[in-house]
Amino acid sequence: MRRFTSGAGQLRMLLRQVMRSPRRALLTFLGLVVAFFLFTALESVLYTLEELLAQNASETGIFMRPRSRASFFRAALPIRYVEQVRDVDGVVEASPARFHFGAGVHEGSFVVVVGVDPPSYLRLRPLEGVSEVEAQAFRGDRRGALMGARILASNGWEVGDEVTVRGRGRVPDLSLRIVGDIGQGDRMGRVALAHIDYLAQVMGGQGRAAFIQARVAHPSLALAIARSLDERFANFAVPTRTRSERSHAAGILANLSDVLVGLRTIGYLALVITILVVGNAVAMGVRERTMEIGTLRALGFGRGRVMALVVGEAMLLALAGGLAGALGAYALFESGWIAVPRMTDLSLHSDASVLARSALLSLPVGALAGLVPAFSAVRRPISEALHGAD
Amino acid sequence: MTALVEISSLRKSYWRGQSEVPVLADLDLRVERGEFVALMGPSGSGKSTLLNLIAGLDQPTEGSLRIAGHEIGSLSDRALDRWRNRSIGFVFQFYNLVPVLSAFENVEVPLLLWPISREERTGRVTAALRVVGLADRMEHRPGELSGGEQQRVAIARALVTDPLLVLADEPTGDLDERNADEVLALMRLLNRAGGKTFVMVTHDPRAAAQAGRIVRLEKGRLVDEAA
Ligand SMILES: Nc1ncnc2c1ncn2[C@@H]1O[C@H](COP(=O)(O)OP(=O)(O)OP(=O)(O)O)[C@@H](O)[C@H]1O
Ligand SMILES: [Mg+2]
Repeated sequence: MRRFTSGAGQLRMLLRQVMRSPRRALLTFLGLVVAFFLFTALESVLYTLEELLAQNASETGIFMRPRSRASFFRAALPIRYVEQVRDVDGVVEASPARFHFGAGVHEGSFVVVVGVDPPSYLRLRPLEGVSEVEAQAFRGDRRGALMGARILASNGWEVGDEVTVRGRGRVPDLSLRIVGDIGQGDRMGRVALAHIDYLAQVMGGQGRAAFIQARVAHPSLALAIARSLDERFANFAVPTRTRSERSHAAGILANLSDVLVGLRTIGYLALVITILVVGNAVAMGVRERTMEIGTLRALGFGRGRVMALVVGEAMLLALAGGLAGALGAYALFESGWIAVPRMTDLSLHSDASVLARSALLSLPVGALAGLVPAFSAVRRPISEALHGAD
Repeated sequence: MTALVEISSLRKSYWRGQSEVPVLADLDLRVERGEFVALMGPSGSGKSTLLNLIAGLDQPTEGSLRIAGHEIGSLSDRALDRWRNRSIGFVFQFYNLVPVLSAFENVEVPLLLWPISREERTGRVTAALRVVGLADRMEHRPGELSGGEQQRVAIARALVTDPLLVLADEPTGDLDERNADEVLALMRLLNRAGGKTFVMVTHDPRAAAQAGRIVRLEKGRLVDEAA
């Protein structure tokens, strides 16, 4: 308690020092806000990407596609593989899927139709917001579709409507009956689930899938089963490439890794520059009050205490600016305003962990920034410092 | 009882590259408790150097410097910091107040290092400001006070720790005659009525006349002592 009161007095002194030159403090603060905004924004992008991939990748999921990369969207995998996959020991369920890329009422209202085998697909993974009644209707209606909330909202469609998803380019139109909605937020927002055989009827390519998803009984089985499946199909007409969903996700991340490292580097660079900006501002303040610091030393403030005051000043500034910048970026990302509709209709978001990490990073940034000015503050002999700057 | 300040065979040199620049040589001086000593001498004679040594801001090259029985030259930096905080009051020519702190907060500064309660600190600061006649200006910043008032705040800051010894380096050097007289009268009162021991460096004979004793330095040596 006693220590605390004198600490409060020193803290007050520190606050006044920071505000001694309001213009300089404000400029430094703004620099910090910009840098921490940028840092937090980049970290939020990375967080969104990683989160997205991790969410979609189940530990027991495996993912099979044709070995030749080019044919992924063209539905080249024979659907009869599904039976053979299902027959493998340790495989719980397998299900085929293919795509139809289209648009709703107006150009730009993207609809990603995923053709699935409803019974096995719904066994593969539970779908949030799809009731048993809706699932039943979906299974029983060849032209039935479950639609993402965004599609419904942007086209003014409702459950029960008969709608047309217009094909793009030479892809034919699909007429679908909406039998239910999918409530998985952004991830499934622009996805419509339809019957794969109905897609084949309209688009051609009967008996073909773009990929086959399967679930195994235990995560430890995923790798071995994936390998044995590829061996089994190696001499078939369409050889396969199967991976666990996790390693599939990791593969995507690895492909992106240069981009990710680049983004991360930019973020950290912004912080390093901030160290220089804050360090310079604090150093200017220290130089201006050489005489004052000499006086404090004469009055009995030790080297350590004076250094702590200078470092404290830098940390206070950094914390204020860092917190404001990080909070700003966090709020912006969490508001959902930043979307990438052209790509995946995925909206970027952030997380409290990202916010906390950015805000906490302001403390070492401030400490590092304060270090050099702190040493220069106590470098001079007291008797010299008392005479003021050179 | 021993003298408050006992200096014997004190030598202080600065080094400029390889060559030694002697500033104080073979200096002996005693200051008794309750004395008011004025230190005079031409510019460059070593007055400030001597005062800094007594203050523990600088270390002697040779010789003994005892204050209240403590050999100052043998104290560690940390012990010296503490010693100055507890035992020495400082008054500077340019007041050396912190411009962003109020008069009250300036006087409070040395007490921030003391493990005392807020109430006790406030009591001491208020009392010190009352002594220098600025109880009604506590919330003013140095920029809002005249030179004489600022110097009185500085004197309050020097008194607030109830030090053994107050050291003043040309405390009236930056003041006009009227303000100088006020500050000198205050110091004299503190000496006479309060029993505070003062060592004051000054160029001003009128200021020196307020002291109980004048000590003259010339080229780093004491030349004579006038009563
Ligand atoms: N840090 C230092 N390094 C080298 N020489 C110094 C240093 N400090 C003081 N001196 C020298 O010591 C001598 C005495 O200086 P000091 O400041 O004690 O004089 P002074 O009597 O207080 O003079 P003034 O009346 O002008 O204040 C001067 O010649 C000065 O140049
Ligand atoms: Mg001098």
